[in-house]
Amino acid sequence: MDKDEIGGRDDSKFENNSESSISSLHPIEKKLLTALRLVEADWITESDLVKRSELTVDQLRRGVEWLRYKELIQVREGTEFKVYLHPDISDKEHLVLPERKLVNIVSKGVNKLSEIIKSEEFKGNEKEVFGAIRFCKKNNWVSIIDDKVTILSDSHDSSSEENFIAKLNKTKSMLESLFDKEDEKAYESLKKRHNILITEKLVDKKYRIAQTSVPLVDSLLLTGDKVVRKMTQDVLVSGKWRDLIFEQIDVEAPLPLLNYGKKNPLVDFIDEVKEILVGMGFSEIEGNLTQSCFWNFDALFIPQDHPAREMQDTFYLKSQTDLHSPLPQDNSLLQHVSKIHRKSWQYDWNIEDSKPYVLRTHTTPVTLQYLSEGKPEKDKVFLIGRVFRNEKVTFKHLVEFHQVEGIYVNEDANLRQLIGIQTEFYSKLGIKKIKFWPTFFPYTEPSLQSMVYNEKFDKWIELFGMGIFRPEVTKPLGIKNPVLAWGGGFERLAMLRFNLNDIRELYSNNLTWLKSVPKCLS
Amino acid sequence: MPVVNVRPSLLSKIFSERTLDEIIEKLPYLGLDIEGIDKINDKIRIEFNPNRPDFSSENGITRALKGILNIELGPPIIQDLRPSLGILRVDERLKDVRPIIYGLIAKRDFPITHEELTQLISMQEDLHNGLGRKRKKSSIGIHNYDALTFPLFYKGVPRQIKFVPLDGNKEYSLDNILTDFEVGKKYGHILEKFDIVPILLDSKDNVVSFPPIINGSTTKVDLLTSNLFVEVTSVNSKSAMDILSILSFELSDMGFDLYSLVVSSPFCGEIVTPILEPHRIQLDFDYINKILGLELTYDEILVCLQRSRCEGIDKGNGKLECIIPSYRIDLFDKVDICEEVAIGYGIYNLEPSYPSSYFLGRKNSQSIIFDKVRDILIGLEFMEIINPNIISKNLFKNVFLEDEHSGKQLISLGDSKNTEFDILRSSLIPSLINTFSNNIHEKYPQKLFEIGKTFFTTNKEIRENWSLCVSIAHNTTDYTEIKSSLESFMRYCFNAFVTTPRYEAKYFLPGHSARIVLNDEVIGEIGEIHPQILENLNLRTLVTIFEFNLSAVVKILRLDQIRIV
Repeated sequence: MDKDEIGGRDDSKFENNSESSISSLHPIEKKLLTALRLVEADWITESDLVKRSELTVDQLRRGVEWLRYKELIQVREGTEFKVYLHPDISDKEHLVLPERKLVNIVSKGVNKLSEIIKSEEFKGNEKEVFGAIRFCKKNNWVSIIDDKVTILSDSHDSSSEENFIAKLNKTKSMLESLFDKEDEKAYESLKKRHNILITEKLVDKKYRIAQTSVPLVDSLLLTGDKVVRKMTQDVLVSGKWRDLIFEQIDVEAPLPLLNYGKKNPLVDFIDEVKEILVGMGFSEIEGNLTQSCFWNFDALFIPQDHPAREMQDTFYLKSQTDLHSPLPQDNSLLQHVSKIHRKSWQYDWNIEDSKPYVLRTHTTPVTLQYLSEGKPEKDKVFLIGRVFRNEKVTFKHLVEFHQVEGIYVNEDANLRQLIGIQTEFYSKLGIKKIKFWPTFFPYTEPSLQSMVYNEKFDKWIELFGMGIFRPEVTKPLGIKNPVLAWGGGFERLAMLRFNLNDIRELYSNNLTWLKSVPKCLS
Repeated sequence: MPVVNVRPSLLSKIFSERTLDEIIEKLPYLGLDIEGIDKINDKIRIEFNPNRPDFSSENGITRALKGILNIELGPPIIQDLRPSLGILRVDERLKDVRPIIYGLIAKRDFPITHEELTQLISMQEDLHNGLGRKRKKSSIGIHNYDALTFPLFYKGVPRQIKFVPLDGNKEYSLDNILTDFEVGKKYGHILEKFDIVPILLDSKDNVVSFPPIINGSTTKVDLLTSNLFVEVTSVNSKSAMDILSILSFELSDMGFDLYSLVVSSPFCGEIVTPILEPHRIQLDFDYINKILGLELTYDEILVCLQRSRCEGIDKGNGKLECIIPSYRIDLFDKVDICEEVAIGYGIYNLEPSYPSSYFLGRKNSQSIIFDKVRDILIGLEFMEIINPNIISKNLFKNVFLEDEHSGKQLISLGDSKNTEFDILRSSLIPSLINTFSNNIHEKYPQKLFEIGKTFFTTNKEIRENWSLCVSIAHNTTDYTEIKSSLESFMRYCFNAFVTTPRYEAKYFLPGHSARIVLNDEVIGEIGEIHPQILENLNLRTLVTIFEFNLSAVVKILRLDQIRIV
């Protein structure tokens, strides 16, 4: 890959570049140095250098940067002033300064000051006349005795100001750096006077070979038939390499990044958390994203008129043909759930309201199905999967996100163990400061929520909820022992992990971001 | 979650031995979330869980705080209900409309204050929204007792009946109220299917209220009112009774004397309300220790319960009877008692403990296989992306140019708050091409893949498959390149060979697409994306793609039976 395809370069890498390491030149560098070498020690402006080197401005600037760090060239970032006649002057060609006007009037015979002031030319402008007198005297053009003005012989010569204006009329503009002594004098005088000159500041870079590096540049520019830049297959096979000298290439320049394959950062983080859970003795389970209301709500002791079941919060699914979610084969399960709802909430549980399909609002229906199938007396399982909420998407809410959930079933499972499991899990994620508050979930009792302290934001953040499944939930499934359950949104953890303020970033699939997240994150 | 405003000045006054910070610190340990503290306006905004509607007032919060701060232990004292001052008769015609009405009378010798009225109204709103299920299940009317005469009649009437509604200046028909008034429009649907609607009349035929919509104007409560009549109408007796209990304790805390109301109903006979009898739950006190992982003595458990404003009675044989004030409608099982003990004990006092049983954890076979799939694709320089399962129909049409894909019926979402989410995806192709479209300014070549679920229906049931989609975008990508990627992947990942019989689809360049067949089963498709689709998605570079059913591949190749050796 050639260096001129490199985009931004990190300048800091070049700071301590020693002379001995300069051993090769890029073609751009060669062109620049050749052009600069031709003018010996003179400074060349950028535009001049573009012409001479036949490079584009971009190439030139890049090459200049490289050469500068190698200390082969010098750059002068001088400021320059461009001087030209004020655009308000209508007839620049025939611009007559007041002092000349005065001389002209006097030479026509009007020599009394009072008359001069009243003259056609000065129209009573005393100020202008006195100014004119001041400059005439300076130029030694007139002498004034009492009220009478007399012309002197020097007045036949043009003043330096007049010469300067004439020059400007010819060249349109002049650079201050190119002034001679006379110009400087005239310029100093004229720039104090109103509306005659405009001075424009130009920033201009100029380049020349660093004078101490001339011998090195000359040797670097040396070329010949025997010097080659690259090894080739032909050179190898023909054995030509025996007679060749290889240019020393730049071995330090950074190069463009390669295209690469990579796991999605969120998936990668999910994997890490899975490893932690597996290490804690949890086994992974999986299940459908589409669920019946029965599994998503009824089995979780959520009454059929509960606000969470409304369309505003939950996605109900439909199709051109009717959809019928399969209810559990086990009829006793349905009856049991129905009975518990009727008894506890005192309403007519309706099997029809259990049938619609929803996108699961949590991963718990999958856990329940697992429990219902295996009816374990002791077990430890987890899952991480997508869940859905009918919410407006904002920087902290997504319609679709991941939830992590785990359960521990055992004869002696208890609330303090649930706190213990959470504490251990958080500590493996590097979270040490945790507190637990009571809260409410329809399907767990007692229920807790965990608050974790985030040092970066210096605040407590609500993370996972947890509790012991209510007997109203476990009994119909045929589970006798307490089930400790915990879980919550995974993206919240991911935002802490990836330092994001906007949750949407995780799903934006912005390739720059995806590439920028390092595989190993400290 | 519902929110209640509590005055810090009130807290400081009631709990004068404590600093405000100490009091506020305790709130989360009652299950309350502090939303914000505004000392200037004397306001703490507190979120409470919907299972605790008794927290919908200052009095409810301080009642619980008094327990946990050891100021008052055990159930709050409520004065005995005084005998009935009124009778209310229920019309048989309301059987299917809104059959239940309960009520009470509350009296004191000085009028209600502005602050009390505000609290009461906000509590009423919370109860309407929560337990009342937006008035559908239950609704509350609070009236000036002195402005009405008993007995009352809860009557089913036709919609043409007229009366002057609260804050109204003339008579309107019930129908007018339902169609023209804000509350009528909001809650009218509750009465939608009934010709006969409920109104509450006093003995002089004044309309007291038109439940669950609006009260009458004559019984309006203002700052001169010191005697109240409260009615709860409902379609569910438990909900109505719960609401009335909560209101009873609130009014009692405000210093009102409560009087009962006799309801004479054709559906449940004569009933005296409110019923403020505490609930009782019996349980082994060992059970509490077992669930919490503690070893508390009976006396310690008792104190914990009292701090939660309950009471316990030793029934012998390790049995404990827990007495629960009737406003605690959230406690109905043994486990609920355990939580009350935990809260009384202080959650912060629960030390973590670690289960000692040994379990061997492992990922499921699917995760293990997908990891290997990812490994190979990453080796082939593909970058993994993830997209939502819900996509927009618009995108679907832009890519597949029709409403269907491979004859699969679309599954759509009932009611989405976001226009870009309409349907469940039946293929990963649209979102993947869309990803390219979102990255047109990035460097090419772009090589992406996604593993995700796809959805379709059979026999009216939804089926879910895991799908793999792999795609390449750059200026010269072609069928050869993508097929070479497919074959390399199948070979390196599964040592499997696929065939690719010709197949045309609208979204592929004609003549440049095929099906993917593995062991005689069609598992997917491959091809060059049609220029029309690239144009639809503003892509100025070529895209080739393949997608196949990963679940099917797992099944065909029997990969789910993981063998280590």
